[in-house]
Amino acid sequence: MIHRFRIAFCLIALATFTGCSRREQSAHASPERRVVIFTALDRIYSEPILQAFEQQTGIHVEPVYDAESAKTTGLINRLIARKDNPECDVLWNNEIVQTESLAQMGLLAAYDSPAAHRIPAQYRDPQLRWTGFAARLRVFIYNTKRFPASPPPAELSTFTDAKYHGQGAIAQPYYGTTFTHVGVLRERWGDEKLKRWLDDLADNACAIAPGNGAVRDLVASGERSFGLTDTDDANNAILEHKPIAILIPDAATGAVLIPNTVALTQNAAHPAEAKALIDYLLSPEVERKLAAMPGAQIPLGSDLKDVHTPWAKLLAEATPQPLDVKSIAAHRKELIDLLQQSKVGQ
Amino acid sequence: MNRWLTRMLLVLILLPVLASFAMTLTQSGLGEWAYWWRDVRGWKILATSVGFSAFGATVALVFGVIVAFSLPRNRFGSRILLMLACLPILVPSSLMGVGWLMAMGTDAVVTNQLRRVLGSHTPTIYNWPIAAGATGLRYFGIAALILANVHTATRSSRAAESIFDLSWRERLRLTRSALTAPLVATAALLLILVFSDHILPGLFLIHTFGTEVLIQYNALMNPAGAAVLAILPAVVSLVLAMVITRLLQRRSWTLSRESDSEPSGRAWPVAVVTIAIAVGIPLTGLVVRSATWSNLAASFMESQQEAFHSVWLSTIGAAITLLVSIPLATTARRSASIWSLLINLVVPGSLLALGLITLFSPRPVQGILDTELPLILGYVARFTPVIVLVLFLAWMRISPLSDLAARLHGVRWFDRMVSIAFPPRAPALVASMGLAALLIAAELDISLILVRPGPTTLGVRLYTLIHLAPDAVVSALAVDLLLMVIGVVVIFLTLQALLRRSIR
Repeated sequence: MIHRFRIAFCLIALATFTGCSRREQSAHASPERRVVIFTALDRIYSEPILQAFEQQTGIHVEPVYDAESAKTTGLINRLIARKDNPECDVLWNNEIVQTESLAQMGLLAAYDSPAAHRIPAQYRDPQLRWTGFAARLRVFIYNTKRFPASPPPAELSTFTDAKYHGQGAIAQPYYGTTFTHVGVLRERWGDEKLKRWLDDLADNACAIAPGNGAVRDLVASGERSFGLTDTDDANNAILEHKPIAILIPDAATGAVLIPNTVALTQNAAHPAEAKALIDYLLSPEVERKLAAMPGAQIPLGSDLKDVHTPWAKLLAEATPQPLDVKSIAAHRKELIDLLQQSKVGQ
Repeated sequence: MNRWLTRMLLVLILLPVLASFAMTLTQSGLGEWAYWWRDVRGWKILATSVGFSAFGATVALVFGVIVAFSLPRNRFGSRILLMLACLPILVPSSLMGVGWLMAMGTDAVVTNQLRRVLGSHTPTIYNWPIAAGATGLRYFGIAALILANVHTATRSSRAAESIFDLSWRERLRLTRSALTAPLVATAALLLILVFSDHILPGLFLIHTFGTEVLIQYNALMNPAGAAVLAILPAVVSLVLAMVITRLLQRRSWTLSRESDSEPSGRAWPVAVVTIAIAVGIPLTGLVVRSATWSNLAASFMESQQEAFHSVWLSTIGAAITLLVSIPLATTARRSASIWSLLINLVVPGSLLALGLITLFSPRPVQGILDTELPLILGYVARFTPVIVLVLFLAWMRISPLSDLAARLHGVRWFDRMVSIAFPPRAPALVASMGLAALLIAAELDISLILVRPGPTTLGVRLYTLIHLAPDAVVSALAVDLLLMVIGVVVIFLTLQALLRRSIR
């Protein structure tokens, strides 16, 4: 009987291993071409783009999407853990600082995509390790039912103003575009002022939501009166006729424009397919699609001046300020330490 | 069953937790221990988590007690109601979270109605007590299930009442003494369950240990810190688990068999109302917000890949869990060490996931991370204790005499298995398979960390869409998921009933 159980156990183990890796083996053995992409852009926007690529090229795309609560960093962490033997071929990040961090860690490979030349140089890595495209603005949103007559001051100091106690909301500052935004603020304000602002946020009972989408939902539902989020999240609520209006926070200092970034990973298992996907993502077609989607992302390509998004007026009021991405990424650790020391981090 | 197999299975099941624990004993891990010991933040999060869980568990216990003691025993309707009470734990926590947000959020189905009466003072799901209560209510069905099956209290008190004509005070004392142990054990179990849930508190903006574990792992890229933080609540849960074990060992209460129970209680409408509050409110939110049949159909079509993937993972995971659990359950009566696998049930799911990543991080085996194996192993590690417990309880009343007699008469092993051992065990096996499949389909903690490239699971899809897609789309997906779970429950219960009937 013991012997039979041993045999049964071995058979089960064998079946498990073979069963579980069946997809892998077929993918390697068959002529099917495939590419693994990690994408932090909201799934509702990235999924149709990847499906269109599959249909056009016949290359099978295996995506890993990030959850709202673990924006960007979950995937970045996974990339770092597998740096010697990466599962990911292409990183499509929804922001820029984490991508630059990976580049500085040596996890990204240089690729001079012909499609990247249409993107202005300020949104490209000089060493060709990543390219920016389709951007979003960081925006101040407020609930129009809560402020029917006039909007609240679209300033970051509003979040810490005792007059608005318990009315603001921001996303977890450790993640995604909020992390980039906080990094920009550190560059502008310095450590002391940023820490004071973060402490005051906590003292003023500002809600720390799991993500920018959650901030939008809190403000749209009236649970909070105003918040900081991205244009794509905000526009979704507007299209659903929710009582939301959008302004640029601290417009006098310029808008914070955060592009998506795409990069080829070092030692990618499927380099040819990965390059084809990168070329596709950087094409005018994709930027047009992303602009036409409910997220209304802002095309960066010099050949898409004719594409208009709902943000033209906002961009006219506040010119996007160039981001010192390399500096923010290089001081990522210090920024995290500062966040942890602040009351928001506690 | 030989010891070699049992021990090997036990080690395999406990390997992820052991790997996580080993990670915290590395140099960086020890540094993290020191950091969190000194840092006030850790203690604050611990206090928040314990307070939140205690309140949630209390709400769950109260609801569970009401349902358990107002249901008539051994009636078909009671079983249906108990199943409804258990429904929240059989669906992904993200589904219940969406339901509560749609029902009790600020601009939500139930809140908007309540606001007409209560005005601006209407509480929402973002109020701490409501959030804790809603989180606890995901687990109240377990309390109802356990307490509905504890009949020592009612049986002994009824017998005493009828013989001695006791006063109400003496009756109360008798009932209290009989109920204390099961109530404390159930409360401790609920506390463990609410404590290890971070998905629901996170959705309701409550920062608990689970949230911090993910921040450590995802944002700070610090797996050792995450493991240290996950171990702290695990220790609390282990202490609670030991309390439960101690109470179980006292044998002052037993789980009844339905045939032993006497019909009682005319208070079933109370049970119906209680279940309607706990389960009906979030489901109403989902159904109202999902709006139309076409939304449901569209949502199902869009999530087909994830649906198939979930079914595949659940089937494989449940089959392996069952195969691993059978020898362990068979040996459990003789080997107390087997119950150490309950550790896997009380630690946060993220700790198991981190352990599996650690196990498969060395370069020679790194390729395994590209397969479904780590995820399936995570499910097996997580749910084997449940299935072992279910099989053990179901099989403990089966007499070994028939098998012994057949063996003495020289009946072959295969024939004994097919004709004697299998038939009485089959209903429990089918029920366990169904339960394992449902638990795996509802799992989210491990899936979020270990899901491989390609289609995710339905639970993960729902979780990633909560704040991205319009309310109608999210609600429709949740309703689809709910219908699928109900379908699976019905199929397995029918199978179990057919098997029971065929045995009789």
